[in-house]
Amino acid sequence: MLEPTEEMRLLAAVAAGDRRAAEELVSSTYGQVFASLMRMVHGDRELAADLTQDTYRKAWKALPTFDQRSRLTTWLFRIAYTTFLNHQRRAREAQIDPEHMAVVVDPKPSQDDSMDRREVALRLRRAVLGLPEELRFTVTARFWAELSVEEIARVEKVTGAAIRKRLKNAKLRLHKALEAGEEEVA
Amino acid sequence: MSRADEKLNPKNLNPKNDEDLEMLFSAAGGEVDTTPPEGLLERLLNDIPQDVSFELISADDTESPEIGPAMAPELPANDNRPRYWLWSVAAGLVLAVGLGSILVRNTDSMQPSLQLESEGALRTVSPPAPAAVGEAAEVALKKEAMKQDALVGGRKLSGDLTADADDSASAVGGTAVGDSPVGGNLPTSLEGALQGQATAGQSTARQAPSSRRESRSRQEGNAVPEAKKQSVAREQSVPRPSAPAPRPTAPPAEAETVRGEGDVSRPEPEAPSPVGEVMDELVVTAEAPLVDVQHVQSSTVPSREEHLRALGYVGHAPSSAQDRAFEDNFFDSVDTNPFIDTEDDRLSTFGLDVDTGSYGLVREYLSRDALPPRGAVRVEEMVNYFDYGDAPPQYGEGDFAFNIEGAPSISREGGRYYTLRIGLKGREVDPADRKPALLTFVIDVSGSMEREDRLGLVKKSLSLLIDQLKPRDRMALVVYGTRGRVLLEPTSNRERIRRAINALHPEGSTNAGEGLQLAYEMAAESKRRGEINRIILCSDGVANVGKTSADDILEMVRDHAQQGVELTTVGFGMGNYNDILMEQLADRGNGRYAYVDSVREARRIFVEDLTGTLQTIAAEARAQVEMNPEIVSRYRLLGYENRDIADERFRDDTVDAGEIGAGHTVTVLYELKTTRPLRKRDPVATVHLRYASMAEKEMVEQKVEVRGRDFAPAWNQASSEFRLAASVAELAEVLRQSYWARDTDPRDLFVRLQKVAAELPGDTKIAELATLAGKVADLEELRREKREGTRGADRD
Repeated sequence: MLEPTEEMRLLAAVAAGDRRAAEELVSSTYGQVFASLMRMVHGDRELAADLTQDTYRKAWKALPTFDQRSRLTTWLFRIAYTTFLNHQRRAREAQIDPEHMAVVVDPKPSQDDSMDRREVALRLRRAVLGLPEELRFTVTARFWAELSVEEIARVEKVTGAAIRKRLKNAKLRLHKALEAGEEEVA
Repeated sequence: MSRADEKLNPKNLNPKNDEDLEMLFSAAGGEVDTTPPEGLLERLLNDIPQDVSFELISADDTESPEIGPAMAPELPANDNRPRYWLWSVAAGLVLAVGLGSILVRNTDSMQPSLQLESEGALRTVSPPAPAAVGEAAEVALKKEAMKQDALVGGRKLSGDLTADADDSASAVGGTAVGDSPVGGNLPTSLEGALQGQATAGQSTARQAPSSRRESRSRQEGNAVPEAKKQSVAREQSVPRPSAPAPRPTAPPAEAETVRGEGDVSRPEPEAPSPVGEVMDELVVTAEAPLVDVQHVQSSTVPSREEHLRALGYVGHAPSSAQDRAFEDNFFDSVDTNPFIDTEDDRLSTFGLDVDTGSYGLVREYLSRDALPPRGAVRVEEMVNYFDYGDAPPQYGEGDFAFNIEGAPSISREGGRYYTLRIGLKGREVDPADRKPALLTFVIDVSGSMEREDRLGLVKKSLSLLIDQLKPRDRMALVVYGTRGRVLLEPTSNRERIRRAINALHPEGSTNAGEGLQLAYEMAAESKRRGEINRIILCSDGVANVGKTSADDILEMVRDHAQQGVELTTVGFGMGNYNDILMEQLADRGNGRYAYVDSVREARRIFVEDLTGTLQTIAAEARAQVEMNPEIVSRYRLLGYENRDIADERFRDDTVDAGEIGAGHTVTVLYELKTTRPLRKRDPVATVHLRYASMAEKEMVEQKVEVRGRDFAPAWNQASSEFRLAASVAELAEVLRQSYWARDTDPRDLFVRLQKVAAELPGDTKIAELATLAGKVADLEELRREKREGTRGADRD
């Protein structure tokens, strides 16, 4: 992950037209972008790679509008997140075969009292994607992109306290959603 | 079983525990391999464009209207509100007679601002006369020191005594401007400094938002001839203790001739427009033709740059026209109409305006516990948001009815100050009689519209509208994200419209130009005779990515408006909201600009007032109020600052003015000072109204006399509606940090508005307004406390 000062230096170099700085910018950030997308699409590596590519394509176009209010990585994550949501929507609208959708089909929950990791992860993901947008973004940014509360606050243009409140709120909802899932099983 | 594994069972999840969620995620995330696949990096590197260079925006440079940590309620750089506590301290102190004309608002702040003057002056004029200017600056500094000694706890400098209300001050004022060593010189040096900064601002890339006026002032600052700069320098170095004073105020119509139809960027050399317009206090220049109303900021400004930005002098140098209006151009800079001496200019001329966008925006800010940026507050738009129960014209009376009422001013003491309200109520059109309309909605579906469910609000608004459509109305939808595309061809089939609205979803970036282009093309193709042809742009107004520049878009909008396709703009959402652009587009498009922050507001625009929104009854409407100098000694128009029209162009029908919808009311407020207490028969003023009547299909003029009998003997005897209008305007001026509202305590307004709300219980908007006034009072107090705290800390 890039240090803030390094980020600024690279950005300035890119702005001045330095292609090597641009390459460095990509190679030092793409891992984080890919990882956050991987968590969003839950394990579809090919899809995550495609979305990563889309993300950077968009980023190059949008770079002149980047105002440095947030960290570059945060900004990239914002784009990645939107790219992912758009993909979801397109998939839903086009009613593509569920196989190709980012939403992975829920496996049958096991009868075992404690669910296995994969099941929980899938349920959790579904619950997260089912959150209202504000909470969904916050949770995704916090836990899938591992951005700090302060960073999210900056990109969302609210206070850190508001983000913490959102997280709390999200947690209650997720808890409820997971419990509901549990009851279905029983 | 590890703790993480246990936590995987939702039954064990404790929603009260912060760690748990993290644990759950990390456990669940462990399932996913996040190492990037081979070849991905190569793909990404291949995608890097050939030319990666761009113009870097710095977060510090973008003055954004957005609310967030960076924009807490306190807006120090923009703040020059009177400090009430300082006032109360200063009240007991008598100002030295020789300096009677100068009010120093805040001694703390003078130091930085003076520094700025000297630096600016040096920078501007250093080639011709560096030494002289340096001296001048030094002189100015010394004078400042003197003044500070003389004015303990005093206030900011002001060359304009007309600014000061009472008679005795005015009497001193005539001479004091010229006679006072400070009054005669400082303002001039300040002007030089400011021009210098305006020029200096050119070289600073991408700074504060460029607005219509700022960009103009920048250009003019740049265009200041060298000779002028030198003359400024001379002014500075040669004290002119007994130079005859120019009139303190200039008719704004003279000074800012073309503002009403002002272009975003076109320089207007024929209009010696004010170089500085940001503030609220008047400083008189010694240069005769440039009788500028200079607005100078005084506050506890932390840095010189911020100070300059607040003044509007650190403008960025936009790389393209597109930048100017679409990227940084958020809120217009601020100036406030001054008092005008009737002897100098008895005519007050301006274009009518029924926009209400500003009120919605102000409400949105306040609902988030933040004071709105001053530039977002337009007095007339706030006043026009409310209904004053004006009677519409009777048949045969023309398109407008005049509703006139006045009363002694409640906020200006010293007597003989009156507030005058002129309500111009447009002819009503029965919804059943409204012409069928083709409504082409141009909807911004860019990524930013996803935030705060802006697009959701647009959808709800449109759904509300569907139910109001008449069978012959047609609706079409164009959306634009990265590209514009037609979503729905004109149709009157409700079901198809509903389906199209439901299919709206956010995508990509913002290509407003292409969206509008498509809409105009479609509207032109499917044009029918006798049909209202209206484009309605729904957007949060953020940056354009298309090839079209803002100028081109404005040009396109104007062209189509002339061919009868009007443009209404509706702002949605707060974040990157580009207020000034939306207002300009509607202005150019002969339409109306509104801001929707709630479903209720959507209902107001798309349901209750749909006929008014769609059916224009008068175009290019302008008013000219002629004051009678025998009765009115001075007057001040509240608001309409950006609608100014030169007096002599009142009958010039090429001048762009306002479009008025059916049943709309335009409320115009004046503050008047009279030569003597009003008598019933006194002819106070004549109101002329000129517009293109849609019914008559020609230019029509209506006029009415304002007489002494139109004025109530006391504030409390005026109607509730009158008191409402005057209070809304005053609240707006408080928010605008107008010099003229410097003594207004928002708490008084709160009390006054509550009373009005109780008197007019049918209108819930008033109760809401009263609540907002209370909030303003709280926020002001907070700001004041904070500032006092800072000051205390500075002293320590």
